[in-house]
Amino acid sequence: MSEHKPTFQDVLLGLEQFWAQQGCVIWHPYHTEVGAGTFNPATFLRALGPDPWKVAYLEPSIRPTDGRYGENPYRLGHYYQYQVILKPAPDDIQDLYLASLAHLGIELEKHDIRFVEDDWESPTLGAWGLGWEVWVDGMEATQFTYFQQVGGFDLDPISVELTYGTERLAMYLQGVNSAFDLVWVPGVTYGDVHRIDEAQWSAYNFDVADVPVLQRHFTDYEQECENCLAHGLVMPAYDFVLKCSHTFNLLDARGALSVTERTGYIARVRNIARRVAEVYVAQLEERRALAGTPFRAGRSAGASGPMDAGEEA
Amino acid sequence: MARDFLLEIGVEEIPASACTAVLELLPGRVTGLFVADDIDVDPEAVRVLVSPRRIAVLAADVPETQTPRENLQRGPAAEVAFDAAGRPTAAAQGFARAKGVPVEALQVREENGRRFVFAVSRSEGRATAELLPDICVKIVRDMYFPKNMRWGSRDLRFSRPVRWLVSLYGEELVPFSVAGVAAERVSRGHRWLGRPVEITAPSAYVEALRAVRVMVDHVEREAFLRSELQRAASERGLEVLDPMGKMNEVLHLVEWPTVLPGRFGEEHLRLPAEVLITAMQSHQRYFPLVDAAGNLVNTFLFVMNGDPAYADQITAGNERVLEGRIEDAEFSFEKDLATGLEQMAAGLHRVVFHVKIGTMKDKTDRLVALTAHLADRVGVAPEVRGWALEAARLAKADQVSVMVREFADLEGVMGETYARMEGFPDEVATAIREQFLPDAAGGRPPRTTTGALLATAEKVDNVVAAFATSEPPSGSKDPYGLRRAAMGMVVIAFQHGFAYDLRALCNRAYDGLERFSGLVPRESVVVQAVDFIKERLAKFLVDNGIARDAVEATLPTSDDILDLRRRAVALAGFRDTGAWDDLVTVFSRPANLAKKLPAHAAGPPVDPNLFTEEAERVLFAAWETAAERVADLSAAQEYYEALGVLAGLRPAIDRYFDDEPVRLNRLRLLRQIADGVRALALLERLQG
Repeated sequence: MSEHKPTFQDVLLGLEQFWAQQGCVIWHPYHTEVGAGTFNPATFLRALGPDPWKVAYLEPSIRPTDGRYGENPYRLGHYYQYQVILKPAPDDIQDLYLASLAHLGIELEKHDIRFVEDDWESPTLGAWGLGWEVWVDGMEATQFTYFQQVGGFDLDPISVELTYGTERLAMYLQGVNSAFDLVWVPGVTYGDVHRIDEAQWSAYNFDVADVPVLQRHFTDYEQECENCLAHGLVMPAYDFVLKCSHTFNLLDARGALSVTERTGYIARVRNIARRVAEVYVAQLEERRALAGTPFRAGRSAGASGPMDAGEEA
Repeated sequence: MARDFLLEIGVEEIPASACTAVLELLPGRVTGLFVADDIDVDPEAVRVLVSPRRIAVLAADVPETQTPRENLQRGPAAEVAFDAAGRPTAAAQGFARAKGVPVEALQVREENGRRFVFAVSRSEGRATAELLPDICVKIVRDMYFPKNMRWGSRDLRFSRPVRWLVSLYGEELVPFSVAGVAAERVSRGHRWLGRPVEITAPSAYVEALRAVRVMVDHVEREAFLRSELQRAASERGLEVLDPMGKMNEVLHLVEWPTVLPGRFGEEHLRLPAEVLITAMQSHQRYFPLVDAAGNLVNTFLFVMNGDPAYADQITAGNERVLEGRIEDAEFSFEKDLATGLEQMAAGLHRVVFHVKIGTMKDKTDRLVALTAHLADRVGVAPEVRGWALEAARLAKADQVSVMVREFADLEGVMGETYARMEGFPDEVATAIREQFLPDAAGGRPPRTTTGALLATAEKVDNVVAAFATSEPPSGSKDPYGLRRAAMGMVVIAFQHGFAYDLRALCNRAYDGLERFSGLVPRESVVVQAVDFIKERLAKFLVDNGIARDAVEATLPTSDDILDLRRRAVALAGFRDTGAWDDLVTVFSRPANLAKKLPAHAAGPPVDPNLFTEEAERVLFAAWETAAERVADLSAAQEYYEALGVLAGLRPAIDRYFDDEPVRLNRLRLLRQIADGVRALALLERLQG
């Protein structure tokens, strides 16, 4: 590590700069709450179909159940993922990824950097992939996944997804033990920026959110998704999938769901996510056929994972 | 002539599970591929080596040509191929011409008892070097892994992307390519400490890689790791722990391992050891250390793959990560302490146990009922009964704790810890943890009676629930570990002298399920559950040296685990005595004849007024005395003696059956009648 300790902002800008140089579209955070960068349509929808795609973006990851009222510096209900999608995954992707760490000032040969098996599965998105979490001296710095299936479709070509945990990376680079102590820019800490909202959002998510209102919203969003699909409007339809997903997360954090209800809600989100993926792919096939460059997506028989079922919602 | 063969498949880091699968299956597959191509390779000479970034196949002394093979092509039958004078017929000549051999070269051989002519040719052995590219492609293409993936736009499926290939036959390159990668001579070294390296010959492979900081032989690597861990621990007078078995993963995460010590803040030692061990092992794969007294210390060992020159910096990083994980666990721990077990227990209705049979609250209610039932049946002191009910009520409370939600392995452990910290009686706290014992085949059963009661209740509920929801174990599938649970009930019963009626217990367990719909009916569930537990008992007894048939002969005679053991032991013991023959006779002679008793006549008792012979009266009297004795002895579980009493009926039985004058006289009468009929017609000759 160099003498100069990068600020949190340096880390974000460094990643942005590095991936821009690799020819990625620099996207921006999505306008609807998502639990992970994977839910951003720049990943979920663009991973489908045959067209090459390179994108990088910062994504606020909104996870109501993970909040701890700003009291636990290791758990945040709102944090920043830096997300990169390269489709198809280039042959030198591991080296490229390592170069991005070097770009942030990590002297690779002076650290213990390892690729530790960590497979990913999201039954809600009908998606799974194989890969690693990348360790820097025992710290999980990045989730590195070769997507195999999304929305129930076998992917071809295969995209690689890199998800950097920006707070953790910055904590490592700055040598601090609390996310709130991160220097965002000289004189301003991460805590200055986010501590109060962590506390307030935790209070809202866990104690205040109006359950009947949320339940009503969920049903409304679900119906609106169907309404959009009936008109072939995939992009708005997908936004309503995201709204359903977030509303479910709020209900979950609020402790408002019995177990059976919880399973039911997850199935409802999965169902509309799949329907959106199907219509998206069908429209893509149609456009390509008209353009004289037809393709046929690999429709998978079931929600099969690599071998075993996953647990994550 | 023979040469050595090397294939190295360079990959992005493959998981430990894939390494294990490769080591199990690949040597046999490689041998099979050589054999299929008639290349005579000694299976012992095929070695597979793995490290995270490579799978290497080394085969010593691979012959340079195929073993020549005799090819047989069958022609016409011998009698068609040759005439009476033994001259080849037109058929033979036509066949020889078609196969391109002189007719005189045809050979006559027998096949399935008939003689045919055969055209025999010997294949020229092809050069191994020509065959190897195809063999290499097959090795790579048909590899088996637990999980496979595709990458980029390639069609190959592999554990992780293949990035380079090295293949040599002797010093010669074996040219082939798979998934856009062509074989070459250059391998890659350690990611940071090494560099690309040319492999000159298969025999130079292991050392060439060592020079670029890759210890490619996993056997050597494991031995090295174990001895380094051992050394680092004993230097400090400590001992290494690996309760979660992380060694195999660590082995396959490093190519050039260094074992390093790290420390965490001493103040964290106030946390339960299990919490610290989980923080070290479950995610970080570190090795905890204990002192001579078995107490956890705040030093740990970890294995790194980096440059030893930067050990200090790398250690500091790892320590900071662990510190964070422990502090995070501490937050959860404090949160749980603030909540308290009672409040956790009150939230159990929110956690599902099984979709068909309700929540953890429902499960808790069943545990309380079953524990009470057991306490009453096995007879325990009132305070033990009280503790057991309290423990049952709180048994599942930690399921809603933050700690268990994050570290599922800590169930029971956290419940015990919190119960103790909240001042519940020791027995209650211990029982909460002991409910899961024995937690492995041959594992330790609960030490306390309180724990034993709760553990039995927990297990019988799981077994009965599985049959009720029609999810019993089948074949190798036992996802809920029910065989172990049933065996646990058996072991606990023996250890703690618990005598209870298994059928009544299973029925009691079903009472708690009755209100749920869509379950298998009670009668069927209870029969299956009892049989399932008895099967485990049988296995236990057989494993302990009691003859299987003796176990099986006694199994249906009781529903009490302890009682069944006494019965089996008595029977097996009695078989070795001189009285065994008597017992067999006492059983088999009456049993054979008694089969003839029609079912409709089985009801009424024996009527002594109908006896005509002295032997009948004697036998009846002997039986009445014996029956009473046997009943008393059985009630006292003195089965060996009871069998003895029964064997003692032998003289009376013999007399009954062998009262010669009466028996012969009866047979004579019967014979006369039969012969009288035969004098008119031999009826036995009629059909039907």
